[in-house]
Amino acid sequence: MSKKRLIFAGVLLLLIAAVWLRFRPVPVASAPEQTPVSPVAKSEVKTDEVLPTDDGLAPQPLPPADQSVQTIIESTDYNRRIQVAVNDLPAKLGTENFAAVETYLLTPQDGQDGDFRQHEYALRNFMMDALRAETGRIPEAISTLIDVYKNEQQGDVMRGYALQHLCSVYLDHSQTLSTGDKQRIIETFSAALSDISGETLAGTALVGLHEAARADSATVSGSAVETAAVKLLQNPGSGTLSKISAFQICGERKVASVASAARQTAMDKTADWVLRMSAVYALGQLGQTAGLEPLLKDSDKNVSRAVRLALNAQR
Amino acid sequence: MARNTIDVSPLESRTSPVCLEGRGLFTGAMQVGGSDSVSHGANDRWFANAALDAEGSLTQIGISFENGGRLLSRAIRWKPTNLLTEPLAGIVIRRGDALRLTAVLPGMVSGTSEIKVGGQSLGTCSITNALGYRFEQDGLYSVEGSASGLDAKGNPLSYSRSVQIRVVGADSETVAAQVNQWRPWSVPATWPAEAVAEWDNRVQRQTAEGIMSLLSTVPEERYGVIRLGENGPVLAPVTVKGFNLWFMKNTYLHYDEIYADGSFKAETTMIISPMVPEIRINQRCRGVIAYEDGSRVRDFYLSDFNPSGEVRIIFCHSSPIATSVCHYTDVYQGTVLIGRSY
Repeated sequence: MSKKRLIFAGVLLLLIAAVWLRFRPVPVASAPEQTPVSPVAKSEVKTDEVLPTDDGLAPQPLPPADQSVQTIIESTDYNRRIQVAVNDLPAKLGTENFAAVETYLLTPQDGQDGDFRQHEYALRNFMMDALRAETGRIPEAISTLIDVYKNEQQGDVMRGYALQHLCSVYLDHSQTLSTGDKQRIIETFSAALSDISGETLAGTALVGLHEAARADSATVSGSAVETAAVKLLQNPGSGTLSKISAFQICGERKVASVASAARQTAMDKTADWVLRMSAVYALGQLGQTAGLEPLLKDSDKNVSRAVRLALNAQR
Repeated sequence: MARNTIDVSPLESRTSPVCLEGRGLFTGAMQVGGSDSVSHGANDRWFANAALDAEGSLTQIGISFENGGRLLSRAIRWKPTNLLTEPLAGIVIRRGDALRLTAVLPGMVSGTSEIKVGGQSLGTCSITNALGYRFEQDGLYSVEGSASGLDAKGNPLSYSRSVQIRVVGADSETVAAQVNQWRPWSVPATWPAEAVAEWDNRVQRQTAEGIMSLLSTVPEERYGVIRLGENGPVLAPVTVKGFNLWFMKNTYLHYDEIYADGSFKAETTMIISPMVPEIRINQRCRGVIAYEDGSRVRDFYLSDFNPSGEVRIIFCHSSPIATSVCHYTDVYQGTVLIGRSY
């Protein structure tokens, strides 16, 4: 074999190895000891593998928009859509693009996204970012986000995203939002606080309310946030995820009355591991870590790490 | 335009040190006689404070650029400040400046002078000499000069007068600026009223509703100076430290561990480049997730980053429900919010 061919073969092998290393499947880690649950199908937890081109969502009739917006809305290639959303969306959407994005967001996912559900969520998240960046149209963005939240057909994830973006709108514009717009956002958070039908909505709303209170205590009182957090913890119907947020916020706001519930949760080996961690965090913030030492040897390494961090922070 | 020059160099200076300035990129490879250091000025310029001969003789100051690649020299005299003829409005000098103080009446040909600073006598000297005094602290000094002697006809002359000398200083200012994010900046409360900031032209500036904002478009240091009045000597240097901050969509986000119930840990890396010690990065999760300590809020300081400017971040997620790991990342310098990213 000639020297040139040898070099060519070597380069080819290196290329193949590089591609394999980049796209090799990520092994699933072993689970910590916790409540046994049914194993989930592999397709439900995607790794960062290369995605094939999909058949896409059925495009909705949309107002005219520029090429990048058209691409993220209409392309059948999700990878391309994400790429454009990350890199090529205009800093300011402009009227037509804004309308196109609004229309897309207000249209619930049609369930045809299949394996691309996470990508669809990500795309819609970028679109919400783009709406918020249009500083001259904040009231319209608020209306769109509220409408997304209110529409149960949007599903918990998108409704939760809408709440998160409303929180960001409030933080970014707390000095300039009209009283009416502030009120609309706060009312949406308040309504979502009692929405314990979904796993995440009440917790996300609590975070939103808490952040709004931090940014604008004249409009949102801290005590209202604390009351809402305690109420979520006391409500037997509250989901685990909402309770996680409630413990975190009670910790940040130093709500001492939750210490007992936090300790009970932290010690409960059958409880969700992130919930236990958030309870440990709350105890740390309250300066009530005494007695947590046995959890340093907890079978769940995530919980024991959180305890170690809380104890270290106390020293 | 020559890249190594000196263009601010008076023949006489009231103060020692004298503030010299010119063009020059490589301040680390410069030496200026009578000065311990050479600092960056605005727009690829330099400045240095050079000490002058205490007796008022001509001081030769050598300036070496790029480790001797170019040599220049200037001769400067430290002129005396006659307290009996100075304007009553007084004098403003920089903290650390020294004056050669005299008290001589016009027409006086012989005699002695006495100088007092804040009521304390510095001593007496012949009217042909001067007494040096360095003003180390900011403040208003009452400096009194008295002269007693004879004119050319032998007539006795005697006079005494106080002059107010205001001494002002400013500490060097470091302004951290996340690339392409406008950040507010206000004149530090400790700066004197006479302070004038001079910025690098490549640092963009705008003022809206009385608040000035700066923007750096590059992750590099840009320099400026704080002057004592327009075109006055330099009080202190200003450094604008541009930096990039990348995470999530600019780096990666992938599953770190996935558990049987669908809960998982996700990992991203945040990168700061170059490293800027003056900042604090505050991340606040918007969704229902937790950091490894169970919190939803985390502060990052320079010590959290590895020497390459990277920090690994883990988000703990309790459910397979696809709530996001979205958070907002605020960058603070002191208590000033200088950047926000999502």
